[in-house]
Amino acid sequence: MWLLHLLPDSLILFITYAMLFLGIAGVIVGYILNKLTIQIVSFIVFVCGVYWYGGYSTEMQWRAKVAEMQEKVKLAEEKSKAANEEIEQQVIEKTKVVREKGRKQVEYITRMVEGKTVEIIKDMSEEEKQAFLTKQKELQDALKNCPVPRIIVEEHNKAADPK
Amino acid sequence: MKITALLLSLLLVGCSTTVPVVAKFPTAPKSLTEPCPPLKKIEGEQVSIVELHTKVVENYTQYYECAIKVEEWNNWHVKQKKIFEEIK
Repeated sequence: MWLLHLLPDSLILFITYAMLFLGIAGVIVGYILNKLTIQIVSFIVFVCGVYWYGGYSTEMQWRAKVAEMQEKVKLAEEKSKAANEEIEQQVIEKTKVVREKGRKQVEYITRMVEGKTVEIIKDMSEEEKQAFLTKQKELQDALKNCPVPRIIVEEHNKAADPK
Repeated sequence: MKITALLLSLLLVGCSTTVPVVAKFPTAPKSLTEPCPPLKKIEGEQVSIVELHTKVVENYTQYYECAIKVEEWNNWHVKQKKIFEEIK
């Protein structure tokens, strides 16, 4: 039936109906004229017409299925694109939150070291403030007196290396 | 004889029908296909605990960024699979 793909619907239908009509007409004419050859040829044409009509119906069903599938595929592609955009947006937003958290943590420690803690302690109670200042002093003392041993740095770097 | 052969060959091609519709495999978002960068190492001879802390936080951040990618890859797969199965 692949041949039918090449022909327009109306032409296929025209040929099919023509074959059916000519077949029936030929059989009748052959019967009237009492010509067996005409009857046989007409019968063959009629059978071919029936076959083509069946083929045409199947072809139309396939074309409808193809159109339905094309519509589904188109819809799926649109949905897929929308899903991609949504995921891309989620990645951007989540990454932003994670980076911001890391940046704030580093900034917090930097402020403690540099003593720029006015913003941090402004809303603290006296008790919280004292606890914070103790931690700050502890950090500053550690910075002055306790350099990180070389082995710790080396082991950290080894852990960061995937090999 | 020639006409019969032609007619027969025309009749014999009746069973070849193909559906010319192909669903394209979706392309993943670019942000998911980028590889995770290697973890950062500490540079320098004299390293303070602040530098150590900064590097550790940076690496943790990097890990979480990568974890987001993995999570979203799974999310992408689930969604695209669902969309693909709806076509059938």
